[in-house]
Amino acid sequence: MTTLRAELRSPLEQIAFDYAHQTKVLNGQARSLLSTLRHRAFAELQRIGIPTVRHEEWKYTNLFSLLAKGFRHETFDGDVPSFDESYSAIRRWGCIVPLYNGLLIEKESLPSIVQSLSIALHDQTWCERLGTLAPIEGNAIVAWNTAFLHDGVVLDVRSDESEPLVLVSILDARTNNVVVHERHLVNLAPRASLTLVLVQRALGEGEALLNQVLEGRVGEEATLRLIVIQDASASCHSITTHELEVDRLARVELITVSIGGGFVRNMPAVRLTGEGADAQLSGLTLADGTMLVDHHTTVEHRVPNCTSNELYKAILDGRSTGVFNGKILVQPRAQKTAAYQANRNIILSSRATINTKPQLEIFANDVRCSHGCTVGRLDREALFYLRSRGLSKQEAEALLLAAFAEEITATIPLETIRSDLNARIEHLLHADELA
Amino acid sequence: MTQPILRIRNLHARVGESDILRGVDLDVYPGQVHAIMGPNGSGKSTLAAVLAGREDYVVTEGQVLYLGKNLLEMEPEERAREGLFLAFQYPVEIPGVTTATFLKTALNELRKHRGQEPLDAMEFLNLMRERAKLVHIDPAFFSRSVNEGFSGGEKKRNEIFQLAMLEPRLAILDETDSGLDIDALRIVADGVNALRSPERAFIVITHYQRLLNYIVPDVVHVLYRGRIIKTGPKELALELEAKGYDWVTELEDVAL
Repeated sequence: MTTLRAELRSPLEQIAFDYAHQTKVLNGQARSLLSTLRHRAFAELQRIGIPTVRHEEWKYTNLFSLLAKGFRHETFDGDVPSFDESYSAIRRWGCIVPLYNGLLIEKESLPSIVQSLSIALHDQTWCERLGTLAPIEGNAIVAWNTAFLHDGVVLDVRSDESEPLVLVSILDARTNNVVVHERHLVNLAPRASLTLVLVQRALGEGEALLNQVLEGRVGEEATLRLIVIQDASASCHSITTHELEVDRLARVELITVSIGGGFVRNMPAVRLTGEGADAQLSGLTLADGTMLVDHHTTVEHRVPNCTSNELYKAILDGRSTGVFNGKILVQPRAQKTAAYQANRNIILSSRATINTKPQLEIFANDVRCSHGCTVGRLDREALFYLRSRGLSKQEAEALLLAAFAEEITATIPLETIRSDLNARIEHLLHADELA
Repeated sequence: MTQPILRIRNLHARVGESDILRGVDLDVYPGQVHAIMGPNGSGKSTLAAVLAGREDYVVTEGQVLYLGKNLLEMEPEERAREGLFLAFQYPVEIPGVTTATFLKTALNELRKHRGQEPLDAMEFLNLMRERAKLVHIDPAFFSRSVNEGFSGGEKKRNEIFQLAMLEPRLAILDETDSGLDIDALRIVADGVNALRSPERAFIVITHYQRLLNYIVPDVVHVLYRGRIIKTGPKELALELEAKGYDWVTELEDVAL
């Protein structure tokens, strides 16, 4: 019955229906602070609504038509079976931290720096931190995430964590289309370091949507490496909001590899708040079919003497769509800023599209900022050169595309991930649809 | 005599609106080195491009038989696999593709075509090391991107290195001497000479006689306005050097 009714509802009505259901289920369980936050978030979402393509930030990315597929919010209870097989292949990347439909599982085997958000929120400090970097005001995605906030991880990192943490978001769409909200809080103490890998795995035939919000503080001289790998099936979608604040002499490296999925929207925002902070953002998109990959990046220089560098590359085939919107904001006092941005795209099909827009807002006068964007096809001279040595056209194209892609994967500091991804990319480039 | 490696008959080709080749005839036999000389714009590089199968060059008349097969029907990669090699006048930089990966892929394609097993990593590395010595290439170049950041001389040496790796039946050197100083010229020429064999033929395209002091040709042709207007023994090159091209082209211009 509910399934039939679900199809008749608008996305916002569906959310309201599920929210009412959640409130009923949680009644009596929820502590007041969190339930107040959820209510505020839900009210904010109701106020601003789901962004449509008339919204400047969502011009090329039709969230409405994605949500029209009808996603249900799962209220989770009971035991969780093991999903070991869905991540056995990536065990060698690091310590696996699995989340099932947004809920941290296998808690007993996790390292001590990993806590469940639902447990950590009993602590006033974490509770107050929630939403400070990703406020709900004016942000439908964060408001939606907060209204359905249940769990996620809290990473409190106080030293050098040598073993990477691999967060695996398992989305269970075996019985119906599902939307999962995950909320993560990351805190790196001064001089601490962490490599965090984010991966998705979808189960079943249904459509799955992950709405992931991460708030991270990188303390003085600390280093956070965040590697986001989006390689799920076409029925798996994701919206990520990664808000990072970077303190004095600290460093953030964000590498996003989007080589699978249906609808992918990433909104990383890095705020450099201490002098000498550095942000390195890079992204690789490999899309075909009707895949959409949208990177809306924000780098904000708030204080003097910080550096940032962005390189996003895309290879688009079929009827795929790429979006790159790179915002660099240099605040008035952020003198001696050095901020660079480049977006390079190769279009393999006449039906693929790229929409690219640099957005530089510079309010300081003594800065070095640059941006560049290229859209093109493969270099014909290079193709002929390779073919004149005996490589088939397809082989030559795959080799050139792999080289184009490897500029990004080469920056991944972990050999296991790098080689697995390169092998996967090579496989995709030799597949019929691409090249 | 044996079958020619290459037989060109009445070859006409154009680029865009202009006719560049206007009836080229040429026979190249195994073991021979042919020099094709001529002033700028005479069609030398166009001939090389047409033989290698470059796009944008349209053959309007004539035929080219390579080892008895119609060369013009083949894709560039088929020509390469059949043993035709073009050393580029302007070798292309390929960022992100290492010389080792590139040559390994190319060589194994050729081996597959010949029905041979691919070389394993060790055999391939040993072969690269051995052939690199021919043109004084540092093995450190193997892991660098193809031609990226190479000097002019390094690029040309890399072309001859590829030639040595791929062991073609017919190698066309398109102005390999241009931009080389005398030391680099000698290295390139020594490499080529070491690769001369009774089965292999070379077409050496050059504007200057200088290279032919080192790579001594069996036959010298003068290409002018898209036609071979004079053919002679190696001494012809010296005569051209001494008297200039006008000496032969004037005759042609009068005839026209």
